[in-house]
Amino acid sequence: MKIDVHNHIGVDPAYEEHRTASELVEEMGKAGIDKCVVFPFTTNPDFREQNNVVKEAIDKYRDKLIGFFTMNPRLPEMTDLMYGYKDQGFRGVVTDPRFGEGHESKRFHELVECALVLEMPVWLHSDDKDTMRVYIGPLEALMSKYPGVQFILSSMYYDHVGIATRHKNVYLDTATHMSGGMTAMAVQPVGTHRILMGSNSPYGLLRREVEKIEVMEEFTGFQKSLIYSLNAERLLKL
Amino acid sequence: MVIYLVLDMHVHLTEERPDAEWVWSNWPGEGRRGLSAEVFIEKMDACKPRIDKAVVFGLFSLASETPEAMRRDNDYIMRLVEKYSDRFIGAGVVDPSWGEAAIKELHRFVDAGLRVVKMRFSSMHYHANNKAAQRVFKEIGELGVLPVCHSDWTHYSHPLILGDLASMFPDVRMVMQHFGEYLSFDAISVCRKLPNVYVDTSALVLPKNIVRFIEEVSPDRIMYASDTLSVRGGLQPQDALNRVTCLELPKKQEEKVLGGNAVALLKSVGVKL
Repeated sequence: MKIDVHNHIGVDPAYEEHRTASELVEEMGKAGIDKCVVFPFTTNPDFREQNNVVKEAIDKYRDKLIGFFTMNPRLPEMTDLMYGYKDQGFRGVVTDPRFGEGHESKRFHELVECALVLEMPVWLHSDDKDTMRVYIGPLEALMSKYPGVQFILSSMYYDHVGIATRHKNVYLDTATHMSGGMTAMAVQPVGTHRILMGSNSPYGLLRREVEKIEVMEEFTGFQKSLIYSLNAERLLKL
Repeated sequence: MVIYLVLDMHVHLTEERPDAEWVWSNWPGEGRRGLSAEVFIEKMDACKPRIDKAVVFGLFSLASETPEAMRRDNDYIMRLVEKYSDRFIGAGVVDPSWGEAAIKELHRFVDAGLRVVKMRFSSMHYHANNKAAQRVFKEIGELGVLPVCHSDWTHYSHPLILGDLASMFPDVRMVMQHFGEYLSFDAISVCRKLPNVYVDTSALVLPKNIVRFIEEVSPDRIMYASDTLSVRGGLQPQDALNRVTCLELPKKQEEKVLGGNAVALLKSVGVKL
């Protein structure tokens, strides 16, 4: 079993990238991936429309795609929307400081509290601190404050290893790792039990992500299976 | 069957150090850094496709504690190139923070036969477009050798800063190593405007940008590289090859990326292949 937890479908207006669910499913077949977590491009501000694209995709490919929805913490009706998406079958929430609310804001904390009640993991699509002005202090305070919430930290580049080492409710995906060796370095302090295979497709490739793990002699067969699927299955209660 | 030449543009080789020195310089549990020529040749031969040749340079003198450290690293590389002339193309390291001593070292190893110059501005925290860097580049232009410069997301080695340096020396062809790492879109933007800038694929996070580079910039200015610097872990040559081969490029394009472009560029600065 192989699960790729980081895939975007819909429209990315920044790079004019269009990606359909059927294109993703075709790539999954070629790369030997059984299931994918999908969510909108976080660069697209019209997340309601883009969440609908994801909803259609998970309805069409029930056995292959797992949907996360994107949420802007600034919306007054945020919690009502989150309850609605949960009812629609979404399994997690994706948010991003680019929506204008930092990790320190009351609204951001409310989003996390709502995810806690809904028993959903929170995907922090945070980009890196240098280019996005994301500060680690408020981010780590958030993670400490809500130990019952499972966070998936996609970016933060080199800082993500230190953050995940300190906060046991943090999972990392492999998308920002430039090599399998970089994943192996993260594993030493963090452990393989909190690493998820994620390609960041369509910018990344599903096949590349599998090969990054496969080539690493540092991982045992069991550890590879943790990264390939067992951690995602446990986190998402599959 | 692979009949073309596969050339790794980016490998750091280091002398074996006594165990006591490693204990002194590394925390317990940290992996031992460093890679000998013999171990890397084994890796080259084990790779699929096999790596025929590699551009090699030092590691510890990227920011040099003394000019002597630079010389020591470069002497080591020159000895290796002499010993394994069929596998290695040597590059000398220059730390521009040493000013006149750096220029002197540049001339010394070019006189000795090296035609490639490695610089890593993030190591000594120099902006790539500063006066010291410009001074080294001016000499490089006069010597007709090839600078290969580390890139990353810091403001020292940011693709736009490296591009600024390259734009001051339009007759000097420069390799932007790592393709900007996380900033590969910025690297593409720079290369689209500057025909004298090439990229290597080591440490590239988004492999599809290799295709984007070929389509939007040039099929001739992108080269396979691994940035291997350790026996295990980190960046390794097979993983780096997979980064290219997973794209399933048309055969001719893949041949150019894996070796053809590097051969043409190295020959153009006088490297005998």
